[in-house]
Amino acid sequence: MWEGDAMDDESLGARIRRLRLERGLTQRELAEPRYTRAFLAAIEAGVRVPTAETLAHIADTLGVDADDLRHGRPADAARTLADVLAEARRELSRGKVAEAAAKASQVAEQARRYALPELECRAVHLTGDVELHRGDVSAAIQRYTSAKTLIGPHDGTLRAAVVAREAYCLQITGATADAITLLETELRTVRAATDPDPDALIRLTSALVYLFLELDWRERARRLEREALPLLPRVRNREWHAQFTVTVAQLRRDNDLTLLDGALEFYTSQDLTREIGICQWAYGYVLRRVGRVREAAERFEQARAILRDVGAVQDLAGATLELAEARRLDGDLDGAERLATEAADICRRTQHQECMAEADRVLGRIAGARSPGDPVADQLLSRAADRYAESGLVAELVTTSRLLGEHRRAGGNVEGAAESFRRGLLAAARLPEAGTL
Amino acid sequence: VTSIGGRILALRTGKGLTQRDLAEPNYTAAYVSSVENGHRVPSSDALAHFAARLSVDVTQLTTGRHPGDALSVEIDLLAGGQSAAWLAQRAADPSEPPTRRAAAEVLLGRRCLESGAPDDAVGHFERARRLVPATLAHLRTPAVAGLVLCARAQGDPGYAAYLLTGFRDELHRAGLPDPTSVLAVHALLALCQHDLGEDATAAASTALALAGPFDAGGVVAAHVATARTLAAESHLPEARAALAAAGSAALEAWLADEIAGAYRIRARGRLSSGDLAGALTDLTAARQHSTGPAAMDALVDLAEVHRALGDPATARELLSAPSSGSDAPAGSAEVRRARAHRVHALLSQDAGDLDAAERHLRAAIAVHRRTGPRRELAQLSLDLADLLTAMRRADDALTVLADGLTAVDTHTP
Repeated sequence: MWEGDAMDDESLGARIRRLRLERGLTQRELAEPRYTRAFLAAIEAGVRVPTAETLAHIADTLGVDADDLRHGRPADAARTLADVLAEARRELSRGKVAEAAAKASQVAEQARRYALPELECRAVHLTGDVELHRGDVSAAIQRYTSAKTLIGPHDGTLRAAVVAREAYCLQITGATADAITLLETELRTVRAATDPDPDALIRLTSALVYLFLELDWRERARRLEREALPLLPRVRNREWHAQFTVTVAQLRRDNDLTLLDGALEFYTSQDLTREIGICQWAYGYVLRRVGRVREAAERFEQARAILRDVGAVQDLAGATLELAEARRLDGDLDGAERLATEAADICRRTQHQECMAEADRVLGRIAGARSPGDPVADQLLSRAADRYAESGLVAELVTTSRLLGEHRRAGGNVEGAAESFRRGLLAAARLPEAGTL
Repeated sequence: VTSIGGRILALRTGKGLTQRDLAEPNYTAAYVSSVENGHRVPSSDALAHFAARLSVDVTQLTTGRHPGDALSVEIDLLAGGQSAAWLAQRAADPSEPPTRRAAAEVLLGRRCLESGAPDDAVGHFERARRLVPATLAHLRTPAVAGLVLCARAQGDPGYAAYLLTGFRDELHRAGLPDPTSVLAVHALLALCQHDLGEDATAAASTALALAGPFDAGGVVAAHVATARTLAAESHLPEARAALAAAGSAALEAWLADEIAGAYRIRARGRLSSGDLAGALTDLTAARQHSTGPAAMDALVDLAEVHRALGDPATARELLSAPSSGSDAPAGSAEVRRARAHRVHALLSQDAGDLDAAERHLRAAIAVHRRTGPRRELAQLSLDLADLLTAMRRADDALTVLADGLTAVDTHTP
């Protein structure tokens, strides 16, 4: 893959000899004035091991870095490996999983041989990301655990990266409380430092805000965002900056799109395809919620094209449903129906309950808008309500029961309407809410 | 008196002892004399002997400080009434023991919380929790309780419950099931579970099995007075024990309203399962525990129990009692009025006056539409719809259901 590959098994003595001959030096010329020719000959033969000081002298005369010489790595090994790793990252983002996996493992192995622990850690981290992409969470956890052992005691930034992924794995295996504890403990440790690392803080905050959003603890998420915002100008890792802004935009749902603009610009410059798709999705999400439906639809279209290309199936279904809803709001019922049907097909394949419920709800609303009291609409909305109830999504059940009740009422089905309204109100009587006693 | 010899001389003459009395049997009068006039430095054995004879602590001879002084800060922290500046100084002083700094942080946090600034309080409680070592996890309880109260005040009951279950496990792992800590954790947990729409009776019962006397504030004062006396007489271990008891009582006094809340939660469970006597006992206890909003809320609950007992006169009397005392947060008085309307509606329905029942339910609904909580709004809409259906007004019932659900669904808390 790069120069030096062929010489991997070369001994230190042989390497010194090779480099000396390449430079046309005699043993005496390389050894003197501090050492004797015989001493250098012994080193080249592998009979004696050079001290750090001796090695520094030899490296200096040969015009190479002493560490590079010791570990037999090419002068630009670290940069070359980092470039390969970045390429692997882009490939993963483009959905080329096998290629990304191969490169990441290769970089991990080379970095270990060259004694570049930080690079090795980042490469192992990426092999974990590959496993996550494949949906193998336990394999991913193993990779992140071994990445953690490679982190130096003072590399808070790298530690935050690995811990954030560990917490994400805990979250998707259902150990949400452990995920929060892990992130909060880490965040406290970082904050307690005399000069807290802004990159580590923003990475951990993003992970927690995401988790709280999933739990619908919006107040908590907003407070974390407020605490982290002053740090943003000091964050060096632009990908983490972008990730934070995309997460926060969905929390805020306001008209200010400048945060997202910055993120999109970054992802584009790095050619991170899937991230560009997610970012477009986030634009659409925000725009739809502030009532700019047409603009939202444009963004969802772009997101869909990208997410389909990279094979991000579940994200594609989400963006498609959003687009369907935007079209429905815009009065394009046929377009909305086509899209929602497409999303429903994907959801059925992945058996994603929440997504299936949402597809049913959008299709039910479309059918209901075409003809009040339509029995198919009734069926779709009823099934959506049942799915939301089964998944414990109380707020969605409340909304769907209201829609179904309104649909039935419009069709003159008074008893059915009352029944659905009652179901929604009974669910609402159990809504989580502060200060209810 | 600034020297060891001088202090021995003063204490000896104060007790009417001779130099020989002090010296015997191990030392001579001449040795005592040379120590008193500073010609000789007493050995540590001799110091221990003199201290025992003079009934004082060795440190009092070597430093001149009364050993009880060491406890004066602890006593002041529990007695209350210190200025914020004094507390801040204690909290920030690295030479203070960490647990004492933590106690000062907790008091500062409580002041922020009471003045309606939970965001500021969080920092104090966080620092307090960090200051107490993990091996003394049960001493972290006030800090954790403070964080939980902040999270509830900030509208995050889910996060508060997360903090509590984590801390409950921490106490368990550390082997520190300190009863007051267990009481505090479960009383708060019951409130959070109730907020979250979960069954809270188990947590409430666990808490109440450990709840102490009604007047925890009075108990604190009595323990502090005892500790003061014991410290002045240098009975330090006994004084410390009194202070520990005062600390436990102080936590209960602080959480009196939350403990009253746990009583109310259990009473509701008992009311709905038909145990009216049990509900009555719990609500009486709730009213005795709290002097705050929970006591007034318990009054409305009590009216409902008396109505269930078939005593509408007492129920109406309880509902007409003027509310008194502090009432934070704002809006809770209005919500209480709405709850009173609900009981009035039940009483009117019992008396066959359905029009009055409808009026009361509509009044309650109007309040909850403005202030929330959405849960009450949902329940009352169902109740009114049932009433209207019984009155054969199906169209009106449907309108109530539709309007209620729309308000619940679009109301942003």
